[in-house]
Amino acid sequence: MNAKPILGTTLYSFTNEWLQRLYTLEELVDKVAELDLGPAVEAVGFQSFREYPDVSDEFAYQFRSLLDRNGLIPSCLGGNCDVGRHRDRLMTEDETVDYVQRQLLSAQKMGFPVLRIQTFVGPKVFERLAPLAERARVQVAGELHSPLHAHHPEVLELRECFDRLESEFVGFVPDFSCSISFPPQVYWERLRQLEAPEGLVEEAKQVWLADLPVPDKFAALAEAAARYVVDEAVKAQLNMSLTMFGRMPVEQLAELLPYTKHIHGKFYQVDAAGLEPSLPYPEFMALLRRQGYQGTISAEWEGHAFTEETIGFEQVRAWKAMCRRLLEG
Amino acid sequence: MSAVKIIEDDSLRVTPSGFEIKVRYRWYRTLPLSCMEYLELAVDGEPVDRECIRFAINGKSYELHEMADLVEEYWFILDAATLQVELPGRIRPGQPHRLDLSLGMRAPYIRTGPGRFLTIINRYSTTQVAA
Repeated sequence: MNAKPILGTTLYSFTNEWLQRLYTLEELVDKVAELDLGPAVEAVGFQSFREYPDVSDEFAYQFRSLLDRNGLIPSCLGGNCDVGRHRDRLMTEDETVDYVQRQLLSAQKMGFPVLRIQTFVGPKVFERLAPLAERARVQVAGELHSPLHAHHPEVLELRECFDRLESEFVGFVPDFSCSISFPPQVYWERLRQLEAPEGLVEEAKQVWLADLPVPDKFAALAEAAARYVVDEAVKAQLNMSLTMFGRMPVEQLAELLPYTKHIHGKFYQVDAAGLEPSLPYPEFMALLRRQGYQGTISAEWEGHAFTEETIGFEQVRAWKAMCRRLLEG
Repeated sequence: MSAVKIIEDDSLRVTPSGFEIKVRYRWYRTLPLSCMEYLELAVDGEPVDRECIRFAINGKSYELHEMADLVEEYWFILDAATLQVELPGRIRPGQPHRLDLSLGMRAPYIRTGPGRFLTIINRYSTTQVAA
């Protein structure tokens, strides 16, 4: 089987460079091409585009031209269902559908074939979005991020909905963070920087490894934090070990592929040996080859959650070399 | 390398009605002004009354109590907003002043419970000499 996934990157990998205003959007995209990190380019609407959620025709044209002249292709636009944008109430279902529709139109104008949204909006909203997505010729896909997994009730409900709708315009964007081998070194280092005692760090590692339901793990972390008397920043960071790093068996990804519109190749640190020790990349790539996945995968470097170092480009370059090697095997 | 500063360097300016500073928030994406949960500023250790502060962005300016309704006014993630403080004579040009800012932004799609969302906490302290 020769079919291979199409590799690329999300501009979100360069969050540190972007926030520090080291590159304009044009310079960022040029650099992606120059370093051969494409061809597929993803962006978070609310990060990269000033006019988002309603981009103008003029801006959309400029963006498409920017990708074209660099030989890059748009893969996925990261959208958001900001149901809590009103201080005193949640958005209604009608408002949520309208809010996503605006983003679908922006995706269409900019040439993105997929709009990523959140899964929590549920089957009713996806059902209403399906015909809008079809009309816009943009697929709308819920991101499957840790702590979700293929058998989570919220996910099963959506799978059932997608089966019923029989529409290729709704689906998922699985994120590799669902299947972590072990939370990365940079995460534990950040916990120590916040002055978490070593004993607590060790206990948090054991909680992560334990074979317990996620709610019980949150409780176990809270109990441990209370014993060590630590501040709110440490508690928030401890909880991130459960929200950022999931334990879905890699094989479950195969069940999701029929619904998959794009993949987030989450990673934190590709080391000098060209490996990412916190994620089972050899298994991911073997599975995608075996299943004949021909869609796009973005390098999604999220080390910027733990450091402000501007190492996004070198990390994405190392990620791409790793994936290429694994896909050839 | 220059990390994101919540109060921009050398941004303290004396104005006819008081002073102003330029502020940012550190997250990965743009939010509407309605997501501002709180903004607390202290000068030389003394809290500034909310009513003395106007928040200027996108060529417009607002009182802090107006922010909650601004669901369609966006604070682009790369932009600095200007806090215009009406306290005539509080800041003297050429003198160092300590500034403490605490800014909470609601992450409107990250739920932490029924009807509750994660708050992104930005705290920053700096001493600047007013221009």
